[in-house]
Amino acid sequence: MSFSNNFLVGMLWVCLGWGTLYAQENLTAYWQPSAAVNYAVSEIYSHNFSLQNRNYIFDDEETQLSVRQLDLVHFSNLKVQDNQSIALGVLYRFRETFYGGANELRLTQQYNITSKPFVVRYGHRLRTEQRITSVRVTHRFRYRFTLDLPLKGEKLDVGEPYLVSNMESLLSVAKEKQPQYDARFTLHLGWKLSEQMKLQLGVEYRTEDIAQDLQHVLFFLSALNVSL
Amino acid sequence: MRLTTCTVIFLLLTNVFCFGQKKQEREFRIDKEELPQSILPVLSHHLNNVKRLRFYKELDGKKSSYEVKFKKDKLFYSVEFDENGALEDVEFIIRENDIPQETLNSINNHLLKTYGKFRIKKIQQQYLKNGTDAKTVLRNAFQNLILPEINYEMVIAVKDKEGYGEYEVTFDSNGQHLLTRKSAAPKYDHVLFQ
Repeated sequence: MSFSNNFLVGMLWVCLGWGTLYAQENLTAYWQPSAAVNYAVSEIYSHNFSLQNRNYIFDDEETQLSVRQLDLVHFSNLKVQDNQSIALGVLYRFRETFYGGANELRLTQQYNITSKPFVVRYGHRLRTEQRITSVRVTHRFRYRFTLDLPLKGEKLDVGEPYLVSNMESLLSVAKEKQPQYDARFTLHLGWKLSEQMKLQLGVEYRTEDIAQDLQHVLFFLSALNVSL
Repeated sequence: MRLTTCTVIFLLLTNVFCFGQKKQEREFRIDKEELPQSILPVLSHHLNNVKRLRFYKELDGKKSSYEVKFKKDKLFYSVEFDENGALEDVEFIIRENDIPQETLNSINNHLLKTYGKFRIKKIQQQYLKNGTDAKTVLRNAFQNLILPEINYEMVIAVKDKEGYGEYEVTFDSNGQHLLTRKSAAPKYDHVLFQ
């Protein structure tokens, strides 16, 4: 019952969002599949490796399917409390091969804290990033608020669905560039397929460069997460 | 691109087939009609003016149990029944300062001695049936009576040899330790690095 209600609300949100966006001229839409592996190195230290690619599905008012980039990502995560962690990440983005843009090296520093008063878990994530390309270095500051909850009962069991929703604001600064403000809203529907594996399908709506040259970007996301 | 799509579809299908084969302990929400018939007549008297009324079933392979959860007079209650609908216990969430000082001191001493550093995540005041009739147990619980037979069930986060884990520790009304159970900490990797 609760799952059906939540699912319907989610789908309505997606449909309304898409309907509104489709009319926009400055809209780009992507499909971004990803696969991630997580494993513990010690009791409090873990690794995350992931591979994701981004494909245009709608751009210049045309539907299309073309690869934009491929990302290789690694995060080293240290638990500093049962509900808090710090992490360092490195990403390499291959864009030159596919689209002609510059490749990127990205360094990330992250702090995460969660609380779970009842069924819903709330998370706050702070990130700083250095995006290094051959053209410039951009510093990015991000704050993300997340809530996630199981959709059947109070505990997520194998075979059951769950929901993850994020709201994130971003500020990018670079030399000789105006600061750029972005906002992202994400909704993921996931399934715990086994103790080790989760599948997630989602949509993300981004408003980029809010202050100067507003762009609307829509992502259709699919992710496979393996925890060893 | 075609290869990536095929690989993803293959992985998904493989998993769908695999996860159906293992028997799992699970808890899920059910409708009121799915409860054993004996539960609601016993409880209905106490369900006036409750909020967030939910019904759950828990399966652990061998046996099943039922839980009715709700909020009443600003307290979060959980009433547990066995598979035949007989009352097992009533619990509600409390704060540290709801526990009598002497009992709390005794609990804290035990936790400090056993774990050193810990964080209390949840405390429940527990009324077990233990031979008492269901009506009396429910009445005592809903009147929030501090009686010699009540227990305090605490969920604490602790760092041990296996990293950060969760323990469920039960104390009697004098703060004497009764039981410790380790609970499996859920993994949230799927949320952290998206």
